[in-house]
Amino acid sequence: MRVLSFIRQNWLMVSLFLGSLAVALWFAFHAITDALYFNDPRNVDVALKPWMTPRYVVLTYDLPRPLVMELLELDPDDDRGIRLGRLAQERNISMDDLTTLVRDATAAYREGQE
Amino acid sequence: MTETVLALVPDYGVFLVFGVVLLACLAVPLPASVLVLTSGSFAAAGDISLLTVFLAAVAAYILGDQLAYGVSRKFGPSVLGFFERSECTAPVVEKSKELLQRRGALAVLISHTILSPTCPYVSYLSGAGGLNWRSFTTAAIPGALIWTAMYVGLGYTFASQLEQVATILSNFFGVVLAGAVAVVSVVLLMRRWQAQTATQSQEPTS
Repeated sequence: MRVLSFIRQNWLMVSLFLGSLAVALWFAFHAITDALYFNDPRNVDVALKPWMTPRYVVLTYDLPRPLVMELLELDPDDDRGIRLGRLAQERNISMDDLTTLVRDATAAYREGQE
Repeated sequence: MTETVLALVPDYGVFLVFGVVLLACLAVPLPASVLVLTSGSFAAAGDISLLTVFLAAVAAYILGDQLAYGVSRKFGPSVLGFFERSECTAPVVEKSKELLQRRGALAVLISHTILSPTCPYVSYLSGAGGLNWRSFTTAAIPGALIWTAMYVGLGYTFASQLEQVATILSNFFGVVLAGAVAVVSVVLLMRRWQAQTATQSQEPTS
């Protein structure tokens, strides 16, 4: 009874505690599920984003630079300041199509390496 | 918003980093941490210089801090004065000011590193609450250096797993911030419980 009366008197603080605890647990749950998701080899190669640059693709997909430059039809000596969003727009293709193109080339390259 | 800001990095590079970090220190809602993290990755890819990104972010952080502190130092006391005149909020303001004088530097350091989303508000409070400039600055500058080194370093080191690192960090800050609120509220509840128990145990004897 004393506890219930205390909770009634301090309902705002108790609500704040329970609410923040729930939010903390929600983030902790997501931390675990995200870790499991990214641990899956199928999800290692992330989808390409408009802000990424060709050099960033080289790094993320662990591909040789000449291969990426050739794939994206770019001059290897003049790729600074180019981002994939602009590239996709110029080629009139979607980011999904560009991702598929790079993923296919990556798969072929890795297969050749084995 | 985040994607739009990141898309500007190849065009504007360190100028963008400087501007966004500076504005974020003034509580403008911009994705400074993700931008600095990604800039570290761009540096690893060779798109921008690592040292320039680091220096731009640190300089913007320190300047933004000083601006927030200076503005609130000038205009904050009159805002706080308004709350001090109210009977309802005066004790809270008084206690906050006292706490700021005792543990202000530690609060500034924590808010600039582990609890970085609270950084601009703590800077504003420090200026308005009368934390002296030297205490504020001696905690804020190491905080800015630690934060920038951490984000640029993580972005640079884990450039190929940037999305994973960004997700882990956002979850981490979610847990830390919500956890901090939970801990503070439970401490306050325990104090109230103890005070109530003490009052009740005194009542039969008096």
